[in-house]
Amino acid sequence: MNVQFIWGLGGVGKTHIVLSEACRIEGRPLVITLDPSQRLFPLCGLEPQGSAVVRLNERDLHLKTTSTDHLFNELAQKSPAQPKVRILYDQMVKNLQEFRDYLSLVELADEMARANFDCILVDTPPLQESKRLDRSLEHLQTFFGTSLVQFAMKGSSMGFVKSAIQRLIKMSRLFVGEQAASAIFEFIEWLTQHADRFHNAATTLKSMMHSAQTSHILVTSPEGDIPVVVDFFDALKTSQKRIVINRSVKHFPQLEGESIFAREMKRLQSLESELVESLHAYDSRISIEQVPLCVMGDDTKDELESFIRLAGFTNK
Amino acid sequence: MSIIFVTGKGGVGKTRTSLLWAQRYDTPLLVDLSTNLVHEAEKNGWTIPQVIELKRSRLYETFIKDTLSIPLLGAWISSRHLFHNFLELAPNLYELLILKELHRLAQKQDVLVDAPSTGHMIALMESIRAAQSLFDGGRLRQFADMMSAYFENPKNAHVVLVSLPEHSALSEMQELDNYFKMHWPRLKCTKIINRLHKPPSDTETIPTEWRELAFERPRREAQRLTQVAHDYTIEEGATAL
Repeated sequence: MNVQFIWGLGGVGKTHIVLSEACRIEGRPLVITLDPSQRLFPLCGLEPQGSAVVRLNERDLHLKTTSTDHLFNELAQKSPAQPKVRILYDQMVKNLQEFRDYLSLVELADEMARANFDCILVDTPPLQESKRLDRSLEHLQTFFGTSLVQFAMKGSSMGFVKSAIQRLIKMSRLFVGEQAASAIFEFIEWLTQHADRFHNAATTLKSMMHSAQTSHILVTSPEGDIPVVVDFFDALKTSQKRIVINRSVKHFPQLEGESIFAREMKRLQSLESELVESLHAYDSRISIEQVPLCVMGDDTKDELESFIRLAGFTNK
Repeated sequence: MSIIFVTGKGGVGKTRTSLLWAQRYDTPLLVDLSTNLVHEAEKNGWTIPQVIELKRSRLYETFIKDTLSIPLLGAWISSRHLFHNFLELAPNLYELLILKELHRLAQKQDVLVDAPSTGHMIALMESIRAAQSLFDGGRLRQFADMMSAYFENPKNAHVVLVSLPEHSALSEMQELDNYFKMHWPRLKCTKIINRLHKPPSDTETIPTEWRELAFERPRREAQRLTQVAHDYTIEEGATAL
């Protein structure tokens, strides 16, 4: 089973490209979105939901996003949670993006472990925000791998450990009030019973990201910032990296004249050749695919299916 | 002195629009939350305004220093590593610390924030309401109550929503508008549609391959705009608001 991560800055057309890739891949794909905006669903004409199957250009695609309810129930089955804990969990899921990030990473790891599909395509949050995802991954690993969790784990009866926790609770009260402080610690205690699960998820994902079996696709536009693109590739240790330049103007003929339109297009064309040149100079092995600019913007399913056909994503 | 938030879907041009707005309205101070305002200004050859970048690590450091200075607590944070660990996981804290800093800066002058995109912007504001519902007391709760009252006064904050003339972006602008109308109704929301394209004039000859882009794109954009109330439009490549 192989895994493909699709990355891109906001607004480059990442969601369209993810779905296009899913249509062209061989075997059964699962598209899992880590993007909190879950744009995948409305683009396919669906309401945002936990999971769904959509038929696009005669392919059946499985789409999935974080199902926090499901995850809680799973966790609660293993160790039951007090009502206070459930309330806090729901609050955190509702209000706190970082917590949802953690959960979606766990779900991703679960899917990889289940291996029910031939390929998993991961639709990531916009690049500007995926640093956050990286941080969440680090935190998952650190938190569940070290100090605090091990201290809080039931069965630890060491005096200095207990008193450290007592200090933290006392201090927290100063910031969040008494009831909140005790609810939070109950919640952490409950969560730490699942420490292994979270820790394993983080470790699995980290190694998956850099493995030779995983491919990474960066979607950009002709205006893509060259340093950002280069930094992106530097950070990934795997050799399977590809760039998709969406809204490419490469195949259009040269424009004459000095009208606003001509100037805009010429500017885009020169930016695009600069981008391609820089990429070749950086690493001649990077494969670059240029998807032609076309008039879009209604973001309907019909428009998506046309795009997939026109962009040549079918039957490659 | 007010806080101006510039927000919208990822990729609509918040950073650029922030610079244009500041230029037009002479905003003395801009705040960068890792969007690189300075780089955008340099790229365009514009004068660089006064920009403060709020870095996550600095905000946490300041918070820890303030905490350490609280009598008795300083001595307690012997296992500093533990405290750090714990802090890094307090998901709401970062947002509250940003708001705290913005509030402080706005005491002296108008501040424009090149704010995060839709979801994270909402999370930024929601950190106040989340703190109010999760925390029964304590400093963070006090701060949240104060910010909640602060945003009751339209003089204190203004929201600028940026969109492209494309469905997804317009839809997020609507989502943001609805959110603010529902939870922060006193704050004014200004809507800007960015990167609008005009059709070429009749005198131009446009090769066949370009015709659809040249004429159909502006036509559809104009059509979409008739459905959406807005306050400003910015044409593609414009250098002023």
